[in-house]
Amino acid sequence: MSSTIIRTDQLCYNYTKGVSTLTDIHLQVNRGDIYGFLGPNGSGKTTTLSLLLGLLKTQHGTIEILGKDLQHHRKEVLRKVGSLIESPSLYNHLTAKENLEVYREIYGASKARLQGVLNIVGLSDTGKKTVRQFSLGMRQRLSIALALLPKPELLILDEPTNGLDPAGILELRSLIRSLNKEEGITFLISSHILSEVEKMVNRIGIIYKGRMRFQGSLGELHKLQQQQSLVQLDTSDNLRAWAVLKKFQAELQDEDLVVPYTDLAQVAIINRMLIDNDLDVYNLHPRKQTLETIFINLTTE
Amino acid sequence: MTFTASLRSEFLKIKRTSLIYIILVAAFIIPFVMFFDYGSPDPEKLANGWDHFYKEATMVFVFVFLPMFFVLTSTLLMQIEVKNNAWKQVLASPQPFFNIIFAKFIIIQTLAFAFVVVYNAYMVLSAAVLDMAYGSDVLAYLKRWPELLKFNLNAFGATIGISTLGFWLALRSKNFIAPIAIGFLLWVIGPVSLEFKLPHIDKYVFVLPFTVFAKKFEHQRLFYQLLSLGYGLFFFTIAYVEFVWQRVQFKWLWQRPGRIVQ
Repeated sequence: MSSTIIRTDQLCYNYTKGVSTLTDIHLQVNRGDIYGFLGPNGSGKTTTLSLLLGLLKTQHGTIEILGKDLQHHRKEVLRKVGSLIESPSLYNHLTAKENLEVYREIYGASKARLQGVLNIVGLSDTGKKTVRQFSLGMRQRLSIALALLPKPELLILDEPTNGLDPAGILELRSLIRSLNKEEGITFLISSHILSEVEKMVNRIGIIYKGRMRFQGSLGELHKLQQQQSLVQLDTSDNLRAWAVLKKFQAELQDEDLVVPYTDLAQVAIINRMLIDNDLDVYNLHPRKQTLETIFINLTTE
Repeated sequence: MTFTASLRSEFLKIKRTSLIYIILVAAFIIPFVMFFDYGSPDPEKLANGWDHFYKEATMVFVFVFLPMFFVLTSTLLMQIEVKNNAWKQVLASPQPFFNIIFAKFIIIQTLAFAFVVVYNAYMVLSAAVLDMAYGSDVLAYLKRWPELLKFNLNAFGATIGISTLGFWLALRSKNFIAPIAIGFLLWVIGPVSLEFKLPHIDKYVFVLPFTVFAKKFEHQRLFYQLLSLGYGLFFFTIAYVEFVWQRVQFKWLWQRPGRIVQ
């Protein structure tokens, strides 16, 4: 069995001729991943997810899901994929159970499974209440129940925390973690807030203006964070200090000297080297990058 | 995944919608008006007191009400998906595109069938009351049920083209007003053109129901039924092809499947 659940190659899409919405998207989601697909609003997340579900016509590139080409195996692929794209797609005039019943036979799910997914999301006791009377959080939970109905191998959730209160977000986060751990479901979750998905994902893809800016494990993103942390220096002779710290890839920026560092021990070494070379240190300011600033740097011009 | 699963899914969606009430109310209008408009039975004209009564009413029903019913229900049915933002969930489910739209088409035909049945029931009821009031034989007309059935089937057949045209208009529009307005405009062209006796207007899809009643077209009834069926196949094919074309590049339909990684 392939370890890659989603693989896109040179995926491009444009809604209007000449205006590219997606360019050369190479997405790779492995089995068992909780993959956070991040990017600011309008960066192309929903377009990518819509292409993965066959909601939009693939114009260029290939999409392989669960080892099968989506265009030629649409039904087989979709049978194993649950999804929630943007706002909940529910019939407001029907009850929670009826909404699931609409899709039960299509996914070949049993009545017990239907009840099971309602129990998982805590909506088994809504009775004859129609979805119109549901709160946004309840709708979101019902949409997740619908996505879980086919016992999916892959769940694609587009901004699933939209409109949820903090308690709802925590609840959803723990639900995703437990489904990933206990049922082995692979998740592809899109969001525009890094901190929201940071605590549950193991792999991250960052998209900006239709292009992938980063793809890798959370560890790799942390590594990037460390690489991009800088110590800002002002010494009695910045030019000579720059020559001394050349091996640390020091750079002169205006009147300041900046040196990348990975940990505070390295900052101490830098300081000692300057003193050993008869340079007075007037200012030493380590600027540690957070994941959030890395994300912002990757998603701004 | 069978077609019955798609059909069952579509039937569930119309639960608690206004479609059922539209059938009950719209089917009531003509029998209600005819009941109060009725003078007295004309023994000179037809065998039974309500023979003429039924044909006059049903002409309006088939020429006006049934075509507009198709346009309206098709639009309302598609609006269930649009209003609930549910198209994407339908399309992300493992159903063949054909099953998705054919199941919806069957729902519309079923609703239209129910509309015709309810209308006939109201007409029988309305006529029965009148017959009793004028001392006519209530059951005499019902004994001619094969004639009644044939008449209804002809009427249904003559509107197949209209039903698929209305279906296509509704399927391609996210808007509620547009398909109804276009449908109404296309229908209006029918009676206006008949008034001006335009050549070949009898072959216009919205005029076909008229051929069920007009003596002039009696000998060509089968031709008009087949023409309506032809229109039906034509518009349904367009609707299907357009629906698929929006989602799949046609070259993939005949290309070999891609690499399978196991």
